[in-house]
Amino acid sequence: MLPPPIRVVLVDTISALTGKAGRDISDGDDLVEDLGVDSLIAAKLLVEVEDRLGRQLPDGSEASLAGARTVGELVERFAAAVALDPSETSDGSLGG
Amino acid sequence: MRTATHLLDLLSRGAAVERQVEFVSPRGSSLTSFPALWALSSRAARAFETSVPVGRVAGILTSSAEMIACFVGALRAGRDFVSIPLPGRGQHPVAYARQLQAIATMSGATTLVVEAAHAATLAALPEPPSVPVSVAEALVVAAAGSTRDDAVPGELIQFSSGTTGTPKGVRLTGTAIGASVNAILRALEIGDRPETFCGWVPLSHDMGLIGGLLATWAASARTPYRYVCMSPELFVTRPSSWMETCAARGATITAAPTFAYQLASRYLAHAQPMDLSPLRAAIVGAEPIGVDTMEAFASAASRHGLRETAPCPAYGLAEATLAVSMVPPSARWTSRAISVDGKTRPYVSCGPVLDCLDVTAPGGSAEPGPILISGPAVCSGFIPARESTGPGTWLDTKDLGLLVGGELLITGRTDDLLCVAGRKLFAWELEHAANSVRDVRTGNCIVVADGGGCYLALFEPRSAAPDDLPAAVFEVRRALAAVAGIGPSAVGCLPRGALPKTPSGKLRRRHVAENVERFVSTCLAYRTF
Repeated sequence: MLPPPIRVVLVDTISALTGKAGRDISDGDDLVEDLGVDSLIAAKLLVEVEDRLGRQLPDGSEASLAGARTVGELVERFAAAVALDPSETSDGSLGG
Repeated sequence: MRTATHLLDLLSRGAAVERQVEFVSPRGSSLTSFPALWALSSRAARAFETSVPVGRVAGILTSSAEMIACFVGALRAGRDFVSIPLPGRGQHPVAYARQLQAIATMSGATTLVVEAAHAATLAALPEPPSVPVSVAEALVVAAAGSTRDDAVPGELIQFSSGTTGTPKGVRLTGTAIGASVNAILRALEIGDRPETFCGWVPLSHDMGLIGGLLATWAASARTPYRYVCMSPELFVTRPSSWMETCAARGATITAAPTFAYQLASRYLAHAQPMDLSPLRAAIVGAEPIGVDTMEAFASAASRHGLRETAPCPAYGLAEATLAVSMVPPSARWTSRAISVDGKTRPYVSCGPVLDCLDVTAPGGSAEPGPILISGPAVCSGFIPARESTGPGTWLDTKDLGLLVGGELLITGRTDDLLCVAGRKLFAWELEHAANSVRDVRTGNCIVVADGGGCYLALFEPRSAAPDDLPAAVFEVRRALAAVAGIGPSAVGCLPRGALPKTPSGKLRRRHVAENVERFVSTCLAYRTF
C-alpha cells in the first residue's frame, strides 16, 4: 500500500498536535507565528510523521526541517528528506 | 529637598481650609469636606482613647467618611492602624475569613473596625473573626468629645491585597507617609491652580489611600483641591463610570492600575464625546505597563480631548510607601528599546525617581538587574518581621530594570520569572501577549509554571458562551508560542469571573499556582500539548 501523501500527513499531524482545524491550515502559514509550532511540538511532529509514513528520516535532516518557516516549506523539505517527489504532496483533501 | 513632615501635620493643615470631598457609589453621591473629616477623626480618636481595648486597630478601609475618620483617628490616638484588604474577586468567603483572621492574629490587633454595611457580612462569614468588631458609625457617634492629640502617633500597617498566599504587611510611620506624599505632590507639579482628584482604587490599597486620599488632603492646604472618591464597586459594576465621572467632575488628576486603562481604551474608542481636556495627570501604575496599552489609551482618550502629556506611567511598591518614580504631567511618556535575555523590545519609562527615595539599578546599556531603594519613604519594617530596613540600608524591590538618565524602566519581577527550557520568561509578558487573542477577555489570562519545566495558561473568554472553545484554546497557545518561542504545555478556558484577583484588579498568580488542579477541574475547555 502506498504511504499517504506527505502534505496530508503533515497537516493532519500539525492539526492533532496544535488543535488547529486541518481545513484552516494552509501552505503559507508561519509555523510559529500562525500555528504555535515550537520546538517541543516540532519534535513530536517529527516522530509522529515518521511513524505515519512508515519511514525514518535520514540522519542530519532535522537541521533542514528546523529551518522551515512555513507549512509549504516544511512539506518540501520533508519530501526532499525522504527523497520523495514534492508533487506527490499535491493531494487537495486535507484532514482536520 | 526633603522635609520631614509628619502625615498628621499635613492633614491638620489641610483641614484648616474648606475643601470638598465627594463620595460616589452605585447608590448615589454624598458630600463632606476635609475639615469635617478631621473633626470626625478627632471623635474617633477619643473613642479609641476611652472605649476600645489597648492595642492595634485593624480596619477594612471602605470609602466612607466614618472609616476614614477611624483610620486617621487611630493614628491620632497613638494606635497603629492595620489596613486589611477588601475581598478579591473570586475569593471564597471562607478564604477571606481566614485571611482576615490571619492578619488580625499576625498583627496583634485587638479590634476590627468596619462600616455598618460590612459588619453583618462579617458576622455571616462561615468562620467569623475572633477579634471584637466595632462599627465605625457607632464608634464616632458614641465618642465622648474630642482627642487632645497628646499621644505619640500610630503607624499605618498596610497589608498587601493578597497577591500571595500568605498575607504580609509593611509598617509605615507618619513621617515616611509624609515624605512620600510631599514627593508625590512635587512630582505632580502641584502649584496654586485648582485641582480635582477623581479615582476608584480602594482606600485599602496604597494607590487609593496614599496617592488619592492622603495626597489630596495634604495638598488642599495650599490650593483649592477637590477629592472625588468613587467606590470600587461602582467601577467594577460599570468600568465606564471612571472616565465618565472624571469628565463630569472636571478631574485634573486620576490614578489606576494598568488594566483599568486597557478597559478605558476600549470604552473611550466608541463612547459619546466627553471632555477629558482638564485631566492633566492620568497616573498609570501598580502593574507592568506595556507600550501598546499606553498607545491605545492615549489614542482613544485623545478623541475626548485628553492632552498628549496626561498619561503618567509610574512605578511603586508598598515597601516604598507608594511611588518610586513617575513621569511628570508636563512631559510626554516615552519608551526605550531594551534587550532582555537576547530579545529586544520597547519598555515604557516610569520617569524620574521621586525625591523621597534613592534608587540603585544597572544603568546605560547594561543588562537589566535588581532595583534597590533607600530613603525616608521606605517602610520601617514588616509583619511578619523580615530583613531590617533602617537608615542606610537598601531594600531589594524584587523588580528588575534599568536606571537610564535618571529614569526608571522596569523589565520584570524576579518572582514572576518562569524558567522554561533554559530560558527566562516573565509571566506578565506572556499574559499580556494573550490579550491579543480575540476570544480572551482583556487582562484575564494567568500563566504559571506547570511543575514539569514548562508552563500552563488559563484564561477567561471574552463572551460568556464562546462559539468555538477549541479554536480559542489554540489561539492562546499560538500567541504565547509566538511571543516566547515556547508554547504552554496546557491551555485552559475558565468560566468568566473564575480567575482570582485582588481588589485592585491584580491577578493572584501565586494563588492559582498553588491550586492549579482545582482551577483546571473547573475549565470549560482544557487541552494539553
